[in-house]
Amino acid sequence: MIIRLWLWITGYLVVRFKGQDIETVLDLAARHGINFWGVERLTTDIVIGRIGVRQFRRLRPLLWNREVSAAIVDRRGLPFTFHKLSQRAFFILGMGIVCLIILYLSSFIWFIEVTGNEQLTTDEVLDFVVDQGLHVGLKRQDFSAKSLENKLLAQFEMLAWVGIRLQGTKVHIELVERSIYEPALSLVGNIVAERDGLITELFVLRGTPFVTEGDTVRQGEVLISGEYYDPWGRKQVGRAEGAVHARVWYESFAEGSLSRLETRRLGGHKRQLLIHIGPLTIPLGFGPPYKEYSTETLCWKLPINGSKPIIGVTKLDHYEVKYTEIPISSEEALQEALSKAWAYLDRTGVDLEQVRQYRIQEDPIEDGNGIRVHLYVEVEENIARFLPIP
Amino acid sequence: MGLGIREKIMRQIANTMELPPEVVMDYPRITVVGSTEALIENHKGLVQYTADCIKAKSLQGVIVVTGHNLHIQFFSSNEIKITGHLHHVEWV
Repeated sequence: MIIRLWLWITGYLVVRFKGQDIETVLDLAARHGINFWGVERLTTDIVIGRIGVRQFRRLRPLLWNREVSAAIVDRRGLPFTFHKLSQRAFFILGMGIVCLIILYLSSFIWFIEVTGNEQLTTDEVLDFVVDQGLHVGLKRQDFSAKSLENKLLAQFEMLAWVGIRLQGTKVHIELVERSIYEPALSLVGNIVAERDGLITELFVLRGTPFVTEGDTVRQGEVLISGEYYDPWGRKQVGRAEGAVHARVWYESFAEGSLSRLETRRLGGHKRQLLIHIGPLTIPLGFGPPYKEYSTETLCWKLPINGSKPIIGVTKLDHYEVKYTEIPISSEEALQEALSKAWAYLDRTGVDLEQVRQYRIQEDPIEDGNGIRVHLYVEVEENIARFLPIP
Repeated sequence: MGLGIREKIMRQIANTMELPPEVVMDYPRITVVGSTEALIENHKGLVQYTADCIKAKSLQGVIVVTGHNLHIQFFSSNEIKITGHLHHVEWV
């Protein structure tokens, strides 16, 4: 290994011997102090060997008057590599510039990684650290891990420990959250109405009922009190338990348009690329030259585990279109508005399977270009909510 | 015959002084590593080199190494390092 390394440093030649009785020539050369490496016989009259550069001059006289010829087929090693590189000055210059750029860029923070968070979201942590000055593109020397650790601990009470390490161009934020303990159940309290309603069923497991079936109650009104008398007639104050089913009402409204815009492509197409590097957005190409157009967007961002992406490309395809207004019948508009109204109730948490009855009220819209509907639904549900007494 | 007497004397000296015989008597020394490498020291010249057979002279005769895909990794006036798949090493 050492000999090979030395040969490579000093440079060596790959020599092809051709002729008869090559062994004698090799033997004679060895007697004259010429050493060979990597001797291979290719054919019956050709042998390849490697020798030092300076030794080749001493080999020539030994071949005189012999039926063996020697020719250099390759030059290898550091001196020859340097010679080749010296003829490509711009390549060397480019390599040097690239090295300098890499060296310069490595003095910035390019990645922020957050691990260990379960309740806190990564975005919450990243938003906070960005507010504190840690962002992609910050110089490494301007970054203080200790100060940020303390700020994170002060900001998020649920954190038990924060460790921030700077590894190359990446900041690794490791979080340990406190174990969450469920608050102890309050031993004393009443059951109150979650919302307005008409009571249909009442189940009391513990406590004194303040209402009966058929009563109308308001939100917050006490339904079952935590005060009660035990079988021995002693007054007790405890935790009220039970269920109170009631008919409650919900309302939503939505609108349906009496016309819709139909889009027809005319054939014109223009593509635009947006390059995102950190906070910078560089547009490539011009925007759409059309009066009316629709745009399809395709966004790609370099995924980096635990960090916000810093490099991305957005492809915008602008299509030239013509918008035409198509009238819609009042029945279709009504159905559209009703669908929206039901969807709203569903989103707000109303159990639509428990709807007992509903009522629709249609209202005109002032501009006459749509229909507005009010939807009133009646649902039977448990309105009991425990309210502890402090 | 003179060489025989000289050899006997040198062997006696080597035995008495506990010197390595390959140094005192110029014997060849062959080191074989597994079946892929052989080092011949104190040879007296290369006689034949093919991919299947390498012959080298020594004071005690011709050393023959047979095998296939044989290469001479290093060759100097007193060392031959052979690599490849070795089958036999013998004197003829």
